Amino acid sequence: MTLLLKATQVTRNFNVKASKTWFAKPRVLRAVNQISLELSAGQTLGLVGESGCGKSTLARMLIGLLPTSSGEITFAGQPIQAKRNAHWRAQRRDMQMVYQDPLAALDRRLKIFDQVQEPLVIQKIGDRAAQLAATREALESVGIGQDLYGRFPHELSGGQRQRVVMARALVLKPQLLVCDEPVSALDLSIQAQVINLLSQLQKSRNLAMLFISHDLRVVRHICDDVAVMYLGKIIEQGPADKILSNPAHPYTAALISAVSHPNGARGSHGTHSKPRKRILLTGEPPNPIDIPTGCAFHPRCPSVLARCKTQAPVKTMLDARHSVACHLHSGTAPRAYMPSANESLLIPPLEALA
Amino acid sequence: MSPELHQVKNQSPETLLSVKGLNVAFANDTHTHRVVHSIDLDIKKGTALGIVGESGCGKSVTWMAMLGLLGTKARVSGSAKLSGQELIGLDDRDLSKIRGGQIAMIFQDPASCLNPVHRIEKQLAESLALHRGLYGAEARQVSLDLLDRVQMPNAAQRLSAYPHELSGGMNQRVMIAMALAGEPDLLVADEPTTALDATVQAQILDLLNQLRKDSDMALVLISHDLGVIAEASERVAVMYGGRIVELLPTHDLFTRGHHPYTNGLLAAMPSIESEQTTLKSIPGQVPSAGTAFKGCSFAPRCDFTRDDCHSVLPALRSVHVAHRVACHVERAV
Repeated sequence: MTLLLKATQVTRNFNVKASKTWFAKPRVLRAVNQISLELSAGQTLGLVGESGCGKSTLARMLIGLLPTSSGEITFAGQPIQAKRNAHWRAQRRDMQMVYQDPLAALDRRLKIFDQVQEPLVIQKIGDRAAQLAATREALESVGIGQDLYGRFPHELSGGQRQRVVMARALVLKPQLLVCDEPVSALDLSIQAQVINLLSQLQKSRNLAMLFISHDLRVVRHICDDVAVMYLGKIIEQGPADKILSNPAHPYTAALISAVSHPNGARGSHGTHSKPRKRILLTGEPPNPIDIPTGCAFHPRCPSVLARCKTQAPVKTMLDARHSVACHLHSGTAPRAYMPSANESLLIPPLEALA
Repeated sequence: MSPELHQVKNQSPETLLSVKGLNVAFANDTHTHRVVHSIDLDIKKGTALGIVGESGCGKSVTWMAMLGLLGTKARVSGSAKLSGQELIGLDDRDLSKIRGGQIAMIFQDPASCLNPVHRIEKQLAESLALHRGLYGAEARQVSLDLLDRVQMPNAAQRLSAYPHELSGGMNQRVMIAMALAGEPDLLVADEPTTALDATVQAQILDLLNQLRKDSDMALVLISHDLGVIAEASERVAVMYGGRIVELLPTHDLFTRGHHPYTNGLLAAMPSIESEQTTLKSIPGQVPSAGTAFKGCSFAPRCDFTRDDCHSVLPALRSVHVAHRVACHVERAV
């Protein structure tokens, strides 16, 4: 696999006014804190975390829509800058984005065929006939039939609109697709259609895909790898099946246990499977402007150690692809996350849920 | 819930709300759109009913109709009896005593339901004055107790906060506290966790379960998320195209679902354990609210249709203990 996107120690600060006095100095909100990641062609990386953890800020920096405060991002060997010059515009061609709310992402006063064609016109790709052919092909690949070409976005259903947004992103034949919560606004039966389509397009076009979602179930279906973010840092990263079945970080474990289980697998209706205890995190995600000292997760962590409060954990490799930033794993021998004996909180083994 | 508690409740089934043949239609100058068709439901004291369905299936409108929240364009017919008292056709003054008093409702987006220019204390005090006649220091004390009941951290400080100073989860707790102010017999929660993060969603669902057990309050949980329904309800009503298509105990939902739509929803739901496979999606589109069907509204998307599916409307029939389904097709449950 060829390395496509590489981010090294990327940080983004925002100045915010958090004081009630008028002339107070702005405070610094560190939305993304020294994140490094790599994405190869054909690879899908899921980025999960709660609201306000910096997922979208990171994605916007990765495709050059937002300048970084420090750190470096390269795309196919070329540095990405947010300065909007000719180089920036040429790079747009290879990286496209799919947004959460398709109605907001589409131009309400433009017919959908014209909308999907517009990137080709802006990028001056091919002559008119070639543009029409490419537009038709893109719309066909997402399953939008000819009878819908002349419609306006409000005349389509939610699922169709999201397909149009995908067609518009794919018409330039990009190498990188960034999807920011692409299915969370859709109904369940339609969501499955869009997930299948996205997965199929990604495979057939060998796209590198960054998939942002708060829904771990969807991530499990689409992504090869998962990166879990908490307050601006990636706290765990590795292969999706491994992380979601055997999480190493207590926060990842809590996120997984918070996924409502369809198989009635939670205590109250446990007739068909063993009762399943969940790790219930106390409190809410802290405000990113007051990031706790040491490990940012320590005030909510069920297995907090003394040094978590003062010392920030560093990234530890558990194996070649699985990394975690947690003091529970900073010893020499890697071990799986085990809640201490006085807790009754347990993640059941996978077999118990079958 | 422990099995003992479950049994105790089943032994003393006292019907709280009985809905019979509830219809809702919206009329404009030329057309009448029927959005909810002959809903029959019984809710017993202290039980939890989940209502699941996709957008436009009428799951919210049903409950708003009972509480008279739909405005003048809505035509509501049928019957909904709360402890023997008929709600449909009740005039607004009597209905406003029931709203927030006997039946309380909480909504999806807590921030837009709270008044942004008033402190939490004032908003809580307002509902306490209205439903319990409490004022001043007494109201303040009860407000504090309510916030404690919904497990609000630093409750005393939060009383003087404005909604924008609280997070989404905390605002939802305030909404639940306001709903509890009138000591309702029935709490209708319309997508209460959709706008919240996963870890906070888990907290709110646990809270709702806890409150229901403590106070013998019945709960109606409306959601599009089958996982949420599975966690906080005992019975599920699956709605499609303005009708209840299946009504069954929650623990049977995942193994004994009968209606093709119920099973389609289950198959369409990605699971965290499963392999990376193609999801089984339901073909076609969700019909928009008010679409008229001659036969079964799900027939155009169904894999199991027979000839009469397109012409004859299937009625709810019993297939198992406490399990009713509206489908012509016979299949082993």
